[in-house]
Amino acid sequence: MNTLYFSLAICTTSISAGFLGALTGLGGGVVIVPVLYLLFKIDLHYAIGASLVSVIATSSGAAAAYVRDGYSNIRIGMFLEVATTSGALLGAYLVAKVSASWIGIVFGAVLLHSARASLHHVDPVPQNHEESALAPRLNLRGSYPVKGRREQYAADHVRAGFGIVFVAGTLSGLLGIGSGAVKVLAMDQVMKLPFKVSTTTSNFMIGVTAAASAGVYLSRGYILPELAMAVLLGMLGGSLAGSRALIGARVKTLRRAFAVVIVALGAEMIFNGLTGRL
Amino acid sequence: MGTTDQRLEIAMGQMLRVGVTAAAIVVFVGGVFYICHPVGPHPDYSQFRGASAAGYHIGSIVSGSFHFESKSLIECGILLLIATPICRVCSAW
Repeated sequence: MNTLYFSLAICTTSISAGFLGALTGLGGGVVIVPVLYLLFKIDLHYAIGASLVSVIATSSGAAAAYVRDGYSNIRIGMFLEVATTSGALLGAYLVAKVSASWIGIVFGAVLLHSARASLHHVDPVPQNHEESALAPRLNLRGSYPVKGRREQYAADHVRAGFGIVFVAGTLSGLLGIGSGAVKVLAMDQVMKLPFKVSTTTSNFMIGVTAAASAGVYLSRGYILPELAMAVLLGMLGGSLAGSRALIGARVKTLRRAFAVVIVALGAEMIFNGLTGRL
Repeated sequence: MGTTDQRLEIAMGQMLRVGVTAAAIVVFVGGVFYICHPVGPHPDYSQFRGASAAGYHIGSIVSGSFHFESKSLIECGILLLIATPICRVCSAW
């Protein structure tokens, strides 16, 4: 396969990954890394590097729109970014220390969790919960638009949420993904923030988290420009189209189909990790 | 939420959009040069070649970009992209 066809094949695959990732809310990173590795036989480090760069582009592009709509809470986001970026630096450091087999197994576990999270319906947290003692001191409160008026909310369990978000940052740096699912879990289920605020604020934090580990990746040579180019442009285009197509699409059916693909990828990553093929 | 917060949010949103768009354009131009230039077997990515394979030096990236070298242009775009969320954080201080 010559350079042109190879780049086009990777770009087309990245468009689909970005499109489905945006449509299902799982993000393109979790799909593109195993696909690059399993299908295109690209070294895991290069796959992770290319995915991480694309994650910065897709999340920053979407964050711009969410910030304008007034859903994301920038104050809470910036506070939690302290945890995600330090986690990301730890994760990026670990890539060189941990064997590829382990990275594959952790990746597989994250894929299986993402598939479960995308299918499992989580009940919305009622907004009449207690407020953490830290919330007023750090001003971790806000309001968001609900049916034309603004509803108030405040953060609960700030310390626990901070800890989980740190883990999310570590996974992001280790696997080259946005790990939005874990961030949303921390903000929505633990800190009891409204779901829409959690998802948009999580997306807001992904860019700077990925940028922190990208610095380490660059110095280690994980980011190959030619490969990153094809993945980046494809994912960006795909996710832009996916976020536009969101309205009116049959998300439920699509989400099920996507979950099956993710389970298959996760199982294969774990299998490869366990048998030492990575 | 005060008006300063809102103004800051709008500025942040614009900064992110401009940064990502600029980075994507630079990477795209680099990609066009890359695809137009060499036709042959694609390089082997199945083995990790270590840090020496992809060295990032700001000086050579900038000078290479001015000479429309595909690799330098793509690297320049990637650096722009990484700088975008960092600038967003710095703008809040």
